[in-house]
Amino acid sequence: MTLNRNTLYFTIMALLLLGVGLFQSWNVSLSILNLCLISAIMALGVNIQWGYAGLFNVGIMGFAALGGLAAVLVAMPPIEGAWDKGGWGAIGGLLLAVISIAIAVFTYKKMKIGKYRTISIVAICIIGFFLSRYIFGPATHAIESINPAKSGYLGGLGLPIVISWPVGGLFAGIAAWVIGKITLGLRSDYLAIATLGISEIIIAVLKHEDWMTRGVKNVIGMPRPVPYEVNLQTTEWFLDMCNWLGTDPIGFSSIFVKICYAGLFIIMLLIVLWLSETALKSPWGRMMRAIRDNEVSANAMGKNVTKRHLQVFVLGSVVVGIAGAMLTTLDGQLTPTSYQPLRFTFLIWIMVIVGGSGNNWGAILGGFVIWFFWIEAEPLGLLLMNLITSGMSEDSGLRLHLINSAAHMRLMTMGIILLLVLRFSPRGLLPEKS
Amino acid sequence: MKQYLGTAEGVSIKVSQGLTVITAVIVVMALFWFLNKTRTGKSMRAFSDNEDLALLSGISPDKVVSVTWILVAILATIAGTLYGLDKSFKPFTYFMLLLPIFASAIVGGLGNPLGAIAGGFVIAFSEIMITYPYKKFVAYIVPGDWKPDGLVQLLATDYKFAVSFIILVLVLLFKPTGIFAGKSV
Repeated sequence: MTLNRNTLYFTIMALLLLGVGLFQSWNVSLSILNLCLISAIMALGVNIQWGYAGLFNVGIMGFAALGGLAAVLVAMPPIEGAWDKGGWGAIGGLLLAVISIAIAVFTYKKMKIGKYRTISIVAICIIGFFLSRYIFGPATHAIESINPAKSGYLGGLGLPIVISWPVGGLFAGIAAWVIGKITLGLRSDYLAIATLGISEIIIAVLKHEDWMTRGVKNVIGMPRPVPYEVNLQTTEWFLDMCNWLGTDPIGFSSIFVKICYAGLFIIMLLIVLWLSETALKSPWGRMMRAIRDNEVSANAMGKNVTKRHLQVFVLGSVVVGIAGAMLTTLDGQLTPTSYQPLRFTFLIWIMVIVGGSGNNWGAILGGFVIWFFWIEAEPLGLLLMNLITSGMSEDSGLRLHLINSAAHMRLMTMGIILLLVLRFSPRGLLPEKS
Repeated sequence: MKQYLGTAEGVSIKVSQGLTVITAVIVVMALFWFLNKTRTGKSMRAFSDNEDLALLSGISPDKVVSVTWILVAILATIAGTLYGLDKSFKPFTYFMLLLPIFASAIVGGLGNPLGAIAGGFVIAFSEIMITYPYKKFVAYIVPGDWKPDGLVQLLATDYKFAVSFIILVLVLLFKPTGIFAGKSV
């Protein structure tokens, strides 16, 4: 039954995408497909946290943004002279801050409780803060002053951008480890508020640390893992292929690039899906579900609940970070202002809930369905409004108003989908197998 | 005002600020009266202390929960209106306020109204003190030509809400129940 339901839903989804390809254009259909794939991976990450372990992460945006940061740091070519002028200073300042925190932690652990410990820790923190600011400030200023209109940042390592995907996962994992270490084991509300806070802080850092990410000036023109359209149009084998297919090389080149992207993303999705399905079926997965369903009895069975929670939280965030890096790769640019909680946190949550939390296939389906309607709500809404108002006169105020507000249909559509799914299938489209 | 205080710089107090302080005092007094003197308030506190005992003494949980929600809505709306009068009304203001407010509740100690007030003060003052540009302040203290060029900010204003987050983290690390030992986790 479940298998049939799986196939049915995914067939419908494929038909919808095909329909867009046939009736709108293949370009649109493929770009929706690409973002669907990325959303599906992100939803898988959230599903690992929420579906397996019941951890409420409302900072998905921050982890996705860390993935984007990784894409910039790994793939952008290094800026000439920036490293000599201030690169080491900036890194050194940051290192100094980390070292002073480490020393403070060390003192906290080693010294005896008392007045002296408090004083020395506070002193270490203050001295560390001012020292690192002293080195860090001028260095970043020097970096930002190098040709601010075009670069003004450190640049990256100039490595292939695909490497940034695991690096993005690593960044997100480290951030998740720090947050988890602090808040897991306390009341569950603390995790929610801490993730919310850290995601906003990550975005603020991306927006304001110009030396690292160019801030709101955006990093554009990132290298691609796939060929460029312009190069394709002059390549022999590509032109031959177009001849053989009987299509126009200019139009087909952009479709071909999107297919390449889709291929890469599908490979990633399959890897992540395979890993999470294997994990879910393994004893580890059963243990996670046992902990989720009853923490007390799992604890009594000798499971270290806090440690498992930390582990699963880091794993889920790694997946979200990978997806974030992939998203930046697809966009070809990092725009810190585009990270909105509505788009990156709540939409992903809707995907997981609609798809069915606890079921990996559900998360993927949710990612596809929600992203599809998120994009298609606008043209469909316009169509619907045109249909409704076709009886009214051309310049009727109501008609104009309705048609103008059709673009806002997407949020309403999301709400309707969520309500309908929760009403008729409260555990999601593809519920967890019990 | 300048002559009266004898300071070199003028002191200004906005009407909305005065209004905020007065309203806050009245609201806090009303809240404490409600929590400590009325029957509903007492049952609320009892329910938060020990659910089972409260149930045994015949307190209806449904009533307590709904009264709490109503109270929360009233307080939040008053605070929102005052904030809007003093700063500005924007649909997304809530998002920037969410973190400091949670932080102050936790810093003060959940379940303790006094703690919430203290936490609010701690968070607000540290936010301002850390992101305040001390340029003018320093200029008055040090001799004339030492006047600093920069703004002498400890942290850029953009990271204002990072301050409340850091305080929240520190409190969670060292004193998970908050300053005024609220409910334990």
